[in-house]
Amino acid sequence: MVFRFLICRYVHLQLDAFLDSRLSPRVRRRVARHIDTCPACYQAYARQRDLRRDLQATVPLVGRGAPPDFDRMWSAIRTELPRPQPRQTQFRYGLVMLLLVMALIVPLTMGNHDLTRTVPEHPMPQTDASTQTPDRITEPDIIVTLTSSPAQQTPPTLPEPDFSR
Amino acid sequence: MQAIEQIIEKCLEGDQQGYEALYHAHAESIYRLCYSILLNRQDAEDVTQEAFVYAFKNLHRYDPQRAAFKTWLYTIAISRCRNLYRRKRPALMDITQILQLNVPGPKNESPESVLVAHDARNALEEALAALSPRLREAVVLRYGHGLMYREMAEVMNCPQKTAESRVRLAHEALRGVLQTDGAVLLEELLTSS
Repeated sequence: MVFRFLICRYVHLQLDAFLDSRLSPRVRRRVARHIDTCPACYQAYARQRDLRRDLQATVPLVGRGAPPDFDRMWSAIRTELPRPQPRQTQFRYGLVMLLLVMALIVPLTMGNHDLTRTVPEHPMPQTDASTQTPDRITEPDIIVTLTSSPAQQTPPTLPEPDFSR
Repeated sequence: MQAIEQIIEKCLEGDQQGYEALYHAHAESIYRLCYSILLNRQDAEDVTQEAFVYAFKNLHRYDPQRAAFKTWLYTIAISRCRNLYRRKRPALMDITQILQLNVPGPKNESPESVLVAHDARNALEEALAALSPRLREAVVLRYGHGLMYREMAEVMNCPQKTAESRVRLAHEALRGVLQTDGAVLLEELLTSS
């Protein structure tokens, strides 16, 4: 008795899917066989079928009687439509963005090599020259004299100014 | 007729005629959907308008791989309807006015048939109005617009099983009302349309 009740409950739950042909062939066969043999389930099936038929026929009619003025609605919608941006404006935005990016990047990239150059080398130990004791003092091989020839000692002469004018 | 993707492409390039084509292709069904859910003509017009403006402004977000354009539009419209009935409960609806405005009258205008049709329409609209908004959405999408459960789940933003159970619950709620008047209702509404 309980088993039969459970089957009937299961079939009731599957009725919509059964009418939509959404059940697998095996389940569909079992549900159909039960509906054929159970008067209560057949009645439920017939009620469900009729209800669906009524709804399919009537619900689409709701709101069809007096349609609104679709053209007037379109006029209202049209005023709010997105307008395409002119290409020149887009180009200007692009140019401004490019300049901004360059203004940010160029100062960073310029003089990068200087940075590497200014890295200090390993510092040499600082010693005072007066305290140094050279191992050997060598005489210079050639003594360069800065004395120049007499011709070079005469200062250059300037041209005489012309006062006759 | 051009494929919907081509029209959308045109719209994205700024072609106003594309927008107009999209509007005229879907305006009637979106209005009907909004009306069936809100059961108020003015609200349905406002929401339809809002839904189209939102859709057109966000057309670049539409992904044809994810859903059909119609389903996407329905999703927007349903969401707008929900916003509206969250703000404004439909307790002040005048069912009689709704019926007279929106269901066509019978062809044979004898007093008796007018009365019968009126009662039948009353029964249907009262039954719809008595449903909770979620169940009404489910019935309208299923029977008013013929959506599959998968599509309904997308539009209502819920799992498919939830969509199925909402339709089942709506059936149970409607059965009591429609079974008594079912035969008359169907006959009258079909002969009058």
